[in-house]
Amino acid sequence: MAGFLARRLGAAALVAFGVATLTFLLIHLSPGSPLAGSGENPYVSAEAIEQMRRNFALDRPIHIQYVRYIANLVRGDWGMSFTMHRPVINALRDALPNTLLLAGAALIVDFLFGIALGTLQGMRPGTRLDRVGSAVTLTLYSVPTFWLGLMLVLVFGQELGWLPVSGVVDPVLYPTRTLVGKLLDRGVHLILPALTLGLIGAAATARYQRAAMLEVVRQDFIRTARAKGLAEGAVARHALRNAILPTITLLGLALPTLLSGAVLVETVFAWPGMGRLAFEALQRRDYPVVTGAATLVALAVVAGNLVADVLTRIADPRTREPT
Amino acid sequence: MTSARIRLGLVAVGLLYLIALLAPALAPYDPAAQLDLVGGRLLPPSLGHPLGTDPLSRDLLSRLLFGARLSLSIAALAVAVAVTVGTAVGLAAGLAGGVIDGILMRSVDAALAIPRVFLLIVILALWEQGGITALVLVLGLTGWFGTSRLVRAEVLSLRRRDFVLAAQALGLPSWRIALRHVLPNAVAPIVVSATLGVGNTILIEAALSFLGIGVRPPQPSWGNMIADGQAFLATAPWQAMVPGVAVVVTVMAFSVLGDALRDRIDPRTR
Amino acid sequence: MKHGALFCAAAAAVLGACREAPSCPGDWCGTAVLVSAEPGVLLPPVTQTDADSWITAMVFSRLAELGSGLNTIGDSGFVPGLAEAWAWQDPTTVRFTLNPKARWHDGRPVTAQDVAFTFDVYRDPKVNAGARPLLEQIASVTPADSHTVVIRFRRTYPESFFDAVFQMWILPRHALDSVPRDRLSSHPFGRNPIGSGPFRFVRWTTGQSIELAGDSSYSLGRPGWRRVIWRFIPDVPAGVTQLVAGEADATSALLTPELLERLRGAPQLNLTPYALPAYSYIGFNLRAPGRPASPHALFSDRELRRAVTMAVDAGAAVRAVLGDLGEVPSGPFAPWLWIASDSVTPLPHDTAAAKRSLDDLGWRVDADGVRSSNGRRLEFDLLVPASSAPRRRIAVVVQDQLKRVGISMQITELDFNAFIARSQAGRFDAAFLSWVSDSPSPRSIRQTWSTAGIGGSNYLRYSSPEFDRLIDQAVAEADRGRAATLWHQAIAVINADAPAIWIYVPRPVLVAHRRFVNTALRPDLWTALLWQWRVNPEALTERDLVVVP
Repeated sequence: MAGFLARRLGAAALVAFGVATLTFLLIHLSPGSPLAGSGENPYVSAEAIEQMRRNFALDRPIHIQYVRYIANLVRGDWGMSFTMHRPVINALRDALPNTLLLAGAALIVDFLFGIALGTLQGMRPGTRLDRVGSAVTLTLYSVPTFWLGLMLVLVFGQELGWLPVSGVVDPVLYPTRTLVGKLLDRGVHLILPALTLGLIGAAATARYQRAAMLEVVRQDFIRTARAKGLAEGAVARHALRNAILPTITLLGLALPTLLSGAVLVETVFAWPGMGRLAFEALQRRDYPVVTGAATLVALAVVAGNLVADVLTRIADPRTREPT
Repeated sequence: MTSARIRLGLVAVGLLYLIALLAPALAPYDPAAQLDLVGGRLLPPSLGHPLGTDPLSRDLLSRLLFGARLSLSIAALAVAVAVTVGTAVGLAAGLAGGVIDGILMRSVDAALAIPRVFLLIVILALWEQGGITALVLVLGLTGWFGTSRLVRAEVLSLRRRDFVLAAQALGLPSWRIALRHVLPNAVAPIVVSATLGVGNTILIEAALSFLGIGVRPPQPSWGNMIADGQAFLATAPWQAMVPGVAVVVTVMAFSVLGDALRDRIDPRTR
Repeated sequence: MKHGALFCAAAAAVLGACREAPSCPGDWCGTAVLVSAEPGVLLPPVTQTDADSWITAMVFSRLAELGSGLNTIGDSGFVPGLAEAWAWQDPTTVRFTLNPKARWHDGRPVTAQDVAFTFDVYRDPKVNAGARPLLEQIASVTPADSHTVVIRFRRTYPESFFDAVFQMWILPRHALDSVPRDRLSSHPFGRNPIGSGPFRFVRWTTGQSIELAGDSSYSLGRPGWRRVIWRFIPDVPAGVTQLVAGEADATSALLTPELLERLRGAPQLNLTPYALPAYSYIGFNLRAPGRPASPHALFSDRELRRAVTMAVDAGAAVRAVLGDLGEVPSGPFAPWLWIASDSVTPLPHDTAAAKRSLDDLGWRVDADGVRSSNGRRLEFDLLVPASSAPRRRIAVVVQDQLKRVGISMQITELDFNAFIARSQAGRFDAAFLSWVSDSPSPRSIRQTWSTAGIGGSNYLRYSSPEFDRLIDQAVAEADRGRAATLWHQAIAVINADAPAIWIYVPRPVLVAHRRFVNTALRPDLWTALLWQWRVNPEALTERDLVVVP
């Protein structure tokens, strides 16, 4: 196991390094200056813009910038944001917990709905329930995430007025609430964004789980259990235990998908997470924030893959190397 | 059952492409024409405008039809690029074997590790001048990895078959073997992958256009029409609803077809 | 009622959210929720965005403030700020006496050393303050004692007092003295500022909101609000949604006619349009695109420029696209500047005269409706920033107007960065530009339109010696009446030369909840007078009564 982990960590580091380099290249090859935003105020002189350029080392040749960039990344100095006047790490530190919260809640939604539906379908293939379930997953699979978000905003936020449609908490009342009140406030704001992000993943999970269940149910030990007269519930539990392994490994792989989808959901719900931070930084050409966010995403992805691999090995003895 | 679904999927997809092709003839107005900036904005559906008008007084139905044209062509072209590149790489890796195979597949694995949408967002946000061509190329060039693995797997399983060994013994060049003997057998999984890929690409393009970095205004795409409608969710909700429904229906058609085709060639998953 | 109380008690036990409404402590209530984009930094010398300026204006204060006449010449138009009085010792020296009650939000008194420190920071090249070039004429800022500061200028000029007091928001020396100057703009102070203004900074929840608290011991009087929450919104329509829904109380924003309609439909809101110190224009490049040594093939011809200008009906275009949210300026400045006057008029809209002029110049109408002369078509390209919806729409209307007199104008939409890059580089025929000045002084006109501005803000490379001479005289004239006359003459020159078509001055709308009274507004900075707003005690809402423990 130790050898396996070491190899995978090495590979992970390589991928992260590769992504950081790729991002650096993309940014420096792309057109557009990071400082043109000061263009419409007659009092920002060319001299002031030049000063900013020097402060951010933009006037050095590109290979020097690259070396400095990599060295800084490794050292933990991820640079200073152009537009937010604070270290990139601080900006990421503020935004990351919000994205993790959203992704975590979405993951819970994804798995609860997905595994439940997939299991039910797998236990009763060919029935009305199975067909309706398949229709539902097919539809959800075809829905764009951001549009689902907008429709939920329309129905639950606007028409019914039940749930808030933006922000993490209510800025006016939150400081005055008790601990329980604060938790509830956060929870209520989390519902719609988590549903949006999670339901579409749930469709994919349900299909995967259904297939896994079918695979398992076909097998001998289940037929034996049924022949012995075991109650359906117990049969279900047996089957589930075997079918859930491949689905659990989806956990690790879900992270990159969630992070990608998070950009859209965070935009629709004005959720102050990393996706929105990175996207707005891209639009404002705030390069240090973009590279920082990209590196963080790369790290998250490799971490996710690593988790998936480790879980697979632990869960399924067949994939382990012979001792 | 499967053949019924295949027929349904084919009809649906065919109908969609027909509509897209005939958009200039079907659309009642020019999708770029701002008909009446003063009084004709955000009109509700009526006889003159079956889906109403958008915030710049352009006819929504016409924009929807031309949006279909654009989205469907972009997706088809992007998938064509992806399939071509993926097949070429898969064939090369499978037939060459050894070091070349190792390098190619390691690279593919690494590339698969990067979240595609994230990469697309970074590239497209930084290169704004590319236009539709750049969009198609970038979508295609980030979407071929799965196909290459598929093709390579097929090649590997076919390599050991007699007719390939016989062809090699006869001294036929590798590329000839690839094209005339291996490829026809690999077509089936490629078609499935391509069909599902079109649906997936439509979703991705809609997301990118929604963010403002895919198809840019004033050209209509379902994604940027939804973005336009977002600001008016309170007063004119159909602006955002209608293009979304179009996306859902279209992607469903491709998914049904793709799933049915996959079930046909691989009965185990039924 | 008894059931209600029981339910409340039970719910309170469970949720802890149900509470007795607290009374208004000390007769001071009021929570205002304002909306804007998220600011970047709250350190006055390095503020960049609108949101930065709006919020720092509530947290910091200046030596003196501009009065309602917006008169920037001399010192008669100013009211006390941190300084309670001032006196001229000679034409280049003025002595300020600070208000002894002025305090920083951490309790320390505001002293003359703070003023000297502030000047030093603003002038330091390492800090790179945007206002640095405007303070060049100040020779020194010296504390005479702890509450007296002497400012000396290098020379006398009419707006010296304005420069001394308006450009600098006073900074706390005790908090910033030890910070290395090149690290100042990224110091945590910019996200946790200590000022001496009417509102004290409380907290900044990244991505969501900033909370301010009214400073009851503010030296000029207690602000009307106890608590202010700035909610961040991704764009204006989201803000309008919150205002209409009653979740927000006030803002100032550039609206589209649809958004204005939505706001009009909300009975609890008062709407007041006003004008920004900004103007937008279609500027003609007087030099060849990319080759500034050669004149532009079309627009170096003054008569042609005048003809094109007369062919455009800016008023109609603005009315069609913006409704009453825009007005047409009569020159390169906002209509409420003190230099404005009815005697200053732009070229009239006269299609017949335009056609005649074009005919005289040799531009004949071809079969396709476009004029041409010697094989060259009367066709040019207009750059428009894709980020500005009003400019995009107005461009389309202008295109149509020009087509009717036989001029073909192509519209090229660019993303903002590319638009600015090409404008600066002179690679355009015509560009739909706009200038925002955060200052009520007319001096910015010189930076954009004088020969000295070429290479800087004068993208069109307009150069008129007569205009330069009149502007220089106007800026140096201490008598306001004579200065105004000189400004009028200068603007008459530039209007006659027609280097640009003045299109519109954006009119943002001040949106305010009806329960606010005494809603003073200064058009150059709408948050400067917010501390004077009060909540009508008979119209208190639930929000107003919430008190943070």
